[in-house]
Amino acid sequence: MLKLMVVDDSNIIRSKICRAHNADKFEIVATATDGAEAIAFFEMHHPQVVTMDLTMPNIDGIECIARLAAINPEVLILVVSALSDQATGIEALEKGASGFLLKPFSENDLRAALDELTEHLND
Amino acid sequence: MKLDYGKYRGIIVSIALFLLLDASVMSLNFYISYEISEDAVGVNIAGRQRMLSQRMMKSLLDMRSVLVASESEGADITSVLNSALKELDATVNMFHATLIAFDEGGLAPGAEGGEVLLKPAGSGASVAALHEAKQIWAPFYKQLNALQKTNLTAESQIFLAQLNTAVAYGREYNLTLLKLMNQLTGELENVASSKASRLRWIQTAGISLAIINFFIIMFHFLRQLRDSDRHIEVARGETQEILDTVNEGLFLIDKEQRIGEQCSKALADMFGRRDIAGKSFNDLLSGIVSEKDRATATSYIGLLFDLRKKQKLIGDLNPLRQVEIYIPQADGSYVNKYLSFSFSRVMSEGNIIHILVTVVDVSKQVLLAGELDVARAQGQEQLALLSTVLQADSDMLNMFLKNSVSSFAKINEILKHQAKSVPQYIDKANQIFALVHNYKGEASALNLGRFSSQAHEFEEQIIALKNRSELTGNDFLGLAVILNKLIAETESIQDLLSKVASFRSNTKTSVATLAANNGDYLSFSHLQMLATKISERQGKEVEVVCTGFNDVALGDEAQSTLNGLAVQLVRNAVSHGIETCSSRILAGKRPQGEINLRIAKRNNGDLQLVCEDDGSGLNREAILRAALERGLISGEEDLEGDDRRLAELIFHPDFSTRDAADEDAGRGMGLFALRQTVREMGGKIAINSRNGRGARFVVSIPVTALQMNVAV
Repeated sequence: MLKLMVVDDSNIIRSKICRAHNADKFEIVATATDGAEAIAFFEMHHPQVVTMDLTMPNIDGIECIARLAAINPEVLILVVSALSDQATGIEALEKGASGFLLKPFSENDLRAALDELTEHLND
Repeated sequence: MKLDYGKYRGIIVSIALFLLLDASVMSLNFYISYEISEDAVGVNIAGRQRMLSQRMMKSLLDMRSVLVASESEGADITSVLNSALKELDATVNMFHATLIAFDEGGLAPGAEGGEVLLKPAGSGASVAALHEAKQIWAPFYKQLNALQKTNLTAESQIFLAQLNTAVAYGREYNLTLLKLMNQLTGELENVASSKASRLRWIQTAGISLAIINFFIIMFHFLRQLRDSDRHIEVARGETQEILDTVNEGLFLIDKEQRIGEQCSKALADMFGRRDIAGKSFNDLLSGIVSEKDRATATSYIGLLFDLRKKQKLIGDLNPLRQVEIYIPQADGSYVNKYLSFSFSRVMSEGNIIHILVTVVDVSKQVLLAGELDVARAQGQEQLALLSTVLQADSDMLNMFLKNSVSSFAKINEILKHQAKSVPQYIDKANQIFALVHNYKGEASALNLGRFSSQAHEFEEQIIALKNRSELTGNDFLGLAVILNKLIAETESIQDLLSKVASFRSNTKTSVATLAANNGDYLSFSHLQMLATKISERQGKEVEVVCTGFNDVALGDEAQSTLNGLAVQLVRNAVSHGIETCSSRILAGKRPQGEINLRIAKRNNGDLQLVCEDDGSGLNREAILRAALERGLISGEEDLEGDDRRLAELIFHPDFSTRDAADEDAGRGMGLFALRQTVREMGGKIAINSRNGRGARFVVSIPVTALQMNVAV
């Protein structure tokens, strides 16, 4: 089982990810509503996989990704965001995220993205 | 990189054979050379036997001559004989040991004091010679040994006898022994010589085989090289054909984001340049896409070279998925197109070595999609129009269309008319405005929102013109464009109407029948709809009560004229007369306002249209303030009770008590347009206002102007 943390300020999106993820493969260890909470929970629960919104209060997604990657460079971060600007998405990946999922997404889209993100951990 | 052994099997086998052959020839060479060197020792030693046999004979003869001389001279020769005997003994032993070694194999004294190992003689001639030599040697060896054992001093005579016997034997067999040793030597030399010639043969054969093998290897190698070159050439040719034919732009990018040496031909047309191979991707994009897109694309390609980023999960971030590019032309102009770039990783042994870039010109698709959007929007508008037409009163709709055509023709005439001064231009604008305003009111009354909003835009343009400090004929050209647009739109509704009419051709309320209506009664039910619409927008409730409409029958022209006047009166009453529901309640009135619209024929034959509302009446203070602001009156003027003067003010173009204009009122042109129409027909307007209790507008139109047909 891979430990998964969900970071999004929207209750609807958090619930959707919690509902849609593959429960045979992932165990949700924390859900955070902003960047500061995400960093605190990350140090507490050490998740291997994180889904990350970009626009959040306190510490935004980009800054949060950089901090999480500094704590654990091996963490797999999937950015889940409504793309207003591709440059922002690219910056998130440059800071340490490994994939990008565009909002709105279907439950299948999310499952497929998480599978693709963690494909190399199957062996 | 794994080596494909199958491909090189032929050459590997040939080289292995070559090495095996060389090793075999070398081993044989060593072995035979060794044997030859052993044989050379044997030949030497066999040659030595010849010498030894002669030396023994010489020693025997020397000793006898010394003995014979000593008998006659009486000298003591013991020491001389002992020395000779010793030398003879050494010679005899050496000969004997060597002969045995040649015969049976074993150690024999060597040439330089040591011992050498001899193999037993192998060839038949050698064996026969040795056998015969041994038979001759055996008695001689005994005789010579006996000499060694005899005491020279005591038994000199015996010694002499023995010596004579040995000499006699030696004389008899010495030459035979020499011949036999010669034979042995010759035979051994023959054996060695045959081995040497065998060695030469083997060497020649080996070298010949090696040369043949070398040629085979070379042939193999050259053939393989030629085949491989041919395959490479064919593959290169095919690749070139693909790159020359494919419609997509194809090229590779390395980690330094440099474009590879091979590019598809289509790229030259897409980018309008041929020097793409070897360029940096960044340079290719420079000047043809925005700086932001270029920077984002560079970062995106950087991500593609990072194995940790999942290719399938970053596709949405591709900034060049559909990008508009501007290709500079030789004449300084630009051609714009839409290109779609897609990127795929090229992997080798788990590493990303290149990014394959595929570029497709999607200009046609993008333009088509744009046209589709426009067509869809037009379709939706047509549908909305159809729905409006179906809901509208067909009679009124026909009237509206007729009025519109007539208004457009008038506007055209006004536009054609040359003005000579700014006031004339302003007058021209006012006349056009009055016509457009009527059109807007009628469209609004029929709920034709699209037409009323277009008319509103038309009005905006006229207002903008009027606000200019200078005006020329060219300034009115823009109005002609909007007019054409309005005409086209109106024609489209006409078209739609005739289609609907043909669809309803068998029904009693056929549009076609109604369109041909002449001399029917007026039906102003749409006025309630207009009043409701305007009042809803302004937070009011209004009821329009029409009376007398069934008492007069009018021709088409008269109907449309009266309709235009009624629309303006109702609009004015709702916008300026009737209060909001809350204001009415505060004033102790019922929330719903009432507009009474009456049409009546007077005794002199004139037609009278009366519009009476129970609103607030004319707001004298606001009218005076607005008139003062616009410089229409001086500060000293007192208009108390002077409705005629008040009417002059409110019918003035541009006069409004409102601060801002909207679709319903505020530009001050509505009543001006009303007066224009009435004046054109030679009619009059009278106003009567009661503060807080309402206003009454009485429009009188001469019968001649209306060509009225009185039915009842």
